[in-house]
Amino acid sequence: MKAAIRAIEYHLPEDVLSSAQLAAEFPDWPVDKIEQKTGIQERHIANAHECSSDLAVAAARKLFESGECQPADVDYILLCTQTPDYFLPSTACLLQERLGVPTSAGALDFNLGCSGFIYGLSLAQGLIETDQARRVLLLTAETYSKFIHPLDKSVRTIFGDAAAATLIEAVEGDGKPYIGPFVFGTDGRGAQNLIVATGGMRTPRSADTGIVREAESGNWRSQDNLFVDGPKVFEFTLRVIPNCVAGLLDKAQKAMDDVDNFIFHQANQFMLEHLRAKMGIPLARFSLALSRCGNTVSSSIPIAMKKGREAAQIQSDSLIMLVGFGVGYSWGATLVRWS
Amino acid sequence: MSSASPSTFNEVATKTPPLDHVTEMLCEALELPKGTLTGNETLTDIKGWDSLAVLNFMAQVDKSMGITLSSDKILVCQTVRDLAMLLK
Repeated sequence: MKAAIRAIEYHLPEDVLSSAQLAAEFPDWPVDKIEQKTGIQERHIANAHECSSDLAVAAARKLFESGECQPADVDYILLCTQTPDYFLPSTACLLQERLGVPTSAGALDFNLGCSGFIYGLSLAQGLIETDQARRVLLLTAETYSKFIHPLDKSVRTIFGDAAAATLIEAVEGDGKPYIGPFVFGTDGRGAQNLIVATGGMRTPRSADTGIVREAESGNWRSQDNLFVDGPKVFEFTLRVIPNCVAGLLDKAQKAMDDVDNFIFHQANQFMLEHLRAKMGIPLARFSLALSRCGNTVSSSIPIAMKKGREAAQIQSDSLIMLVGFGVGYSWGATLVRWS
Repeated sequence: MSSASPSTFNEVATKTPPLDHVTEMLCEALELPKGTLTGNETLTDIKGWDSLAVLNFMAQVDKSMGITLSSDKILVCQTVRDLAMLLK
């Protein structure tokens, strides 16, 4: 049996943070220019009572309502999140109950950010092609907004909350791979450059860690908030991603021209456009799908896939390259056909 | 040096740039009119020299010269000439 992507749905929370709202809050911030650079016009933000599990449930229910599968058909839940409901239990266990997935199903959380969808596909493929599961519900769900200080316009501009539900199931193979090969990469030296430093066991939150200080360029944050060193993360992507793409093509024995669609993690338009031009990828084959949702971390690739399918940019049987990269540092890439 | 954008960055020259190329890339990064900077400026005196400008400068250097600059090294530079030294 081969593992194949059957369906993708996603959910964005109702509350919207528009660039106009940011402009009103930060009159000195050149929001028009920033919008032009980031390619982001609005981000959806979870409300105070909305958690990653709630977004994941909404995305999964859309999938079930589409008729592609029913909760009873799912025999494994993989949840990628860095904003779980609790330290324990795993949020995936809560989702089994809320979605009505059978108690015979396996379920686990895994903690990755912008590379998470690639790793989730890899895990799902492994489970299916070793006959441990037949229908894996891969959920990606983040509420990074809860980590962001309201006065940190640098990251508030970029990130949006979202969840995606991807169904991967066992199919009779047609000889060509539906998912894979994969290339992976990890470099923990970059851990401090994209981090929420407190709240875990290493540095529990305290009154001290919550003290808000002015940081670079008039942004404010405490140690409890999300910190992103933009230039360092950009440097990482320049050094790693072109080699990652070349490594995948080499492993798959494919050329750039064999790939119909390139879907990179939707970090921001500036970074994506630079990487696209650097690698000589034609614009028509390169996805940009963040203007209405921002950088949605591990959901950005499935959202771009779904939007690409809806806009008929992705055809049935297209060969699609997926590339995820970010917090960790962690990265990965694969080729898929979504028939 | 060439101001035309190559179709891929592999085609760019990698020779050491003269100071005027560095000021040109810096003007581009800061969205200042060409020729605004002389090369004698202190970076903190240049309006708009912030983390976004650092990103833009890194992108310009990568695009124009095929060199990935370390952001740490950029941040210890005090002058435009220091930036030029990084590209030697």
